[in-house]
Amino acid sequence: MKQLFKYKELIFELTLRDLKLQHRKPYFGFLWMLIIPFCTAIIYKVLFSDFFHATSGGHPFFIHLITALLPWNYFASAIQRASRSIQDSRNIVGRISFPKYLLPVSAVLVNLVNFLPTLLIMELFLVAFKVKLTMLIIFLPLVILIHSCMIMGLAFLVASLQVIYRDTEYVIQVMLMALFFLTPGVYTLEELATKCSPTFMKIYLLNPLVGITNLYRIAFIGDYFSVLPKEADFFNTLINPALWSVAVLFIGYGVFKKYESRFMDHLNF
Amino acid sequence: MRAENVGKKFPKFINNEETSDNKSFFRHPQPAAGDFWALRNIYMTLGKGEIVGIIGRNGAGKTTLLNIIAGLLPPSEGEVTVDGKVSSLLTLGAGFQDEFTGKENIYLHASLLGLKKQETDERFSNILEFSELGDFINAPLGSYSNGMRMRLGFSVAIHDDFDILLTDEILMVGDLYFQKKSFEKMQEFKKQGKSMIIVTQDMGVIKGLCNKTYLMEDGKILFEGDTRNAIEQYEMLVNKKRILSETSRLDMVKETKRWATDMAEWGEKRGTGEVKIKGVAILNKWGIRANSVRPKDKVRIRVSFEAEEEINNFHFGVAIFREDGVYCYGPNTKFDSLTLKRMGRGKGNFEFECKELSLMPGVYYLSAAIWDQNETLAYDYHRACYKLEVAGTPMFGQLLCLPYTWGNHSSVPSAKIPDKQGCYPNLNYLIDKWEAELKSDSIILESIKCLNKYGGEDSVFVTEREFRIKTDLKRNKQADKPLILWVGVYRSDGIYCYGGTKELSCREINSEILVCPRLRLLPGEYRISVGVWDPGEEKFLLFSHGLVRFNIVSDKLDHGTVYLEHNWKFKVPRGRKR
Repeated sequence: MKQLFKYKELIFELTLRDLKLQHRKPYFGFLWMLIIPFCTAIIYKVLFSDFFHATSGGHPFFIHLITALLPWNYFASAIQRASRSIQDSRNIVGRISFPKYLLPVSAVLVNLVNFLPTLLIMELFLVAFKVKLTMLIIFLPLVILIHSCMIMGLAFLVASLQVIYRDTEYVIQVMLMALFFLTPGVYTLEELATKCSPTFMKIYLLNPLVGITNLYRIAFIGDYFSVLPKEADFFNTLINPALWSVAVLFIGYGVFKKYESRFMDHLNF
Repeated sequence: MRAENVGKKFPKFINNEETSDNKSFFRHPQPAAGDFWALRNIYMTLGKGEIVGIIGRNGAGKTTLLNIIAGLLPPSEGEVTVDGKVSSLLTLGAGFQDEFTGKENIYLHASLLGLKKQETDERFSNILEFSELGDFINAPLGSYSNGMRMRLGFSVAIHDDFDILLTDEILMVGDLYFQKKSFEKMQEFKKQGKSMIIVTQDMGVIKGLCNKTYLMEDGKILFEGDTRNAIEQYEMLVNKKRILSETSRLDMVKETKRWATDMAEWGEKRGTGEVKIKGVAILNKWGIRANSVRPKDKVRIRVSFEAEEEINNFHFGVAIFREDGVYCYGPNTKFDSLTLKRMGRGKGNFEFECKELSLMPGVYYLSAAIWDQNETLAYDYHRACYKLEVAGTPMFGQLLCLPYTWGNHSSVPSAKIPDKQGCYPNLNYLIDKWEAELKSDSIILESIKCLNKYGGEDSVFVTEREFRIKTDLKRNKQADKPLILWVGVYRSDGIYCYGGTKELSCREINSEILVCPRLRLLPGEYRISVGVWDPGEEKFLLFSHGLVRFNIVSDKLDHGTVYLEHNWKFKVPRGRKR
């Protein structure tokens, strides 16, 4: 991990490469990274709020939606990008000797760079919807760190698995879809708590993404505490995701290191 | 750098016909039971400042070895230890992005190679200058030509810091000028005391840079040492492999037997008659007509002819048959890549000049022919109509009269012609013993091996190259009477081509090597016979007759059994100019 710092130039170049490749040709370039999530949010809002009359706690549904959807986008696209990072760079991996784990790292960083400006836009929306902003927002970097650590760990894991088992990317697609509905994005936690059995709720809350979503909302929406159901306590909102992040990071890195030497054998044919 | 017992295996993929139907779309190629060892037992050391070359045919494992040394592939067995930074020029411009400009690609590539941005800044102007790209450096890489791309890749790669440089067939990048510059850069590295491993097909580069060269084949190191020897061996190997491919070998063997006419047709003169052969003259070494020459003399066969019509695309040929019908040699101008385009009306002649008629004494018959382009139609063909006698005593049907020596590598070759009739075994005893063996108590034949020039065991040899037969004999101590060892080479159909004898010493273990500096046999399968002759009792103590096989291949097409070094001269009538 210390090496990360040593290779900062290379990480920078790799990330820059990916960003340039992604944004140089489209006319709107980087703007798309801002446009797409909010467009998605608008579609979801129309669908769930206006048609199905989904509830959204004490604040506008649109705010409720984007505070979960943007981090989710970051999560999903980073994992998907990372899963192909080694495979798509086979021309480099097999030719030049350099630390291979930098590829998933840069894949995650690219998405982080795409993600951060959207938060800024979101803040503008929050202001526009007159949502109260509290001091809790200073914990946002911590939330992003926990979130990123977890993404990074998963990125290592899927990147190395994808090289060896090419089915991984499809499994990821299915899993991401399932996970999306297992996180309180389009519905609220309190609604779920009232409708489901307490046992299910306990298991459900062990999902670190639920905690992370809550953390983002706590940071952004001032009075979010008031709408949190009692089941979502301090442990499964902060401690549980943090533990998961660290664990996933180490496991992912370990798996990556274990398979690393075999990459070339699997990439060639 | 040190590599010890390095091996690399890949799973073997079966790709048989049954799986290639529509089902195979869903199915991966299945690894077969066995593994394929791309490399095995590689030992290699590279000291500081040393430059070694690796040569070998495609698929010999050179690149795999470099990949392992560079740390890109893990070895399946063995160990590679490297002290210092390795830079590998295995593929140029790996990771180049078409969308990026040359400059962006330089930075990206340099950072992949491990250079800091600041270091790249310092080298940027050097890289740009070396690559000669000029203003194109700010154009996207996609607009580059292949040569420009390679030049850029090469320029970035060599401006890296390294202790050991691995290059893989990349010195031939760019135009001649750039190649020269690259070569000079390499020499500069050599002077700086950097170590290099160079894999290339360019023997000039290897000669110019490497002190030591490895020759690889089938994942093994076939030879290591002096560059010149390695190149020589490689050329031989390439030659042989090319010829060795099964179909071409069959063709070649078939070709040697072509026009081995029935003796019943001897004396026939046939042809379409546009050109007529008027006469055949045999000239001895003084240029005088003769019917009899001595073995190893210079001989010229002059065929005079007269053309009655104009003909195009023709060739001349002669053939030599032995009295008993053995087709000795049938060269023609086409095999020797002489092109004869047009012949006008008039008289002319052609001459087959043989510097050394390496045929054993006997009576031979000559054919002379003038053929059309594809040897399907003879303008005139005289089959075995002319007699040529080689004076001397024939020796049990031996065909070739060639010098040989006994000994090993170090002994000075003293050519001698087998003519000591007195102690020569009577090979008539072997007439009906083909592929048979006789064993003896007092002397044991341990092994017969065919060796190449470098002492390695081999089963395929090239016409006109050095050839050795090693026999190991074990002799009982009591037996001390003089014995004669005889080694003979037979064609697979039983024609005795060549042989040599030697008096056996009384030592217990006799290991004798028959060295034939130039084996003048044409492609085909040959057998080796070995016998120990007891001159006192006039019988064989032991023999092994035609049990050891070897093949001869050649890079040229020829007819017959033996190869005679020769020249062609011809005077073709031009006809009247219009």
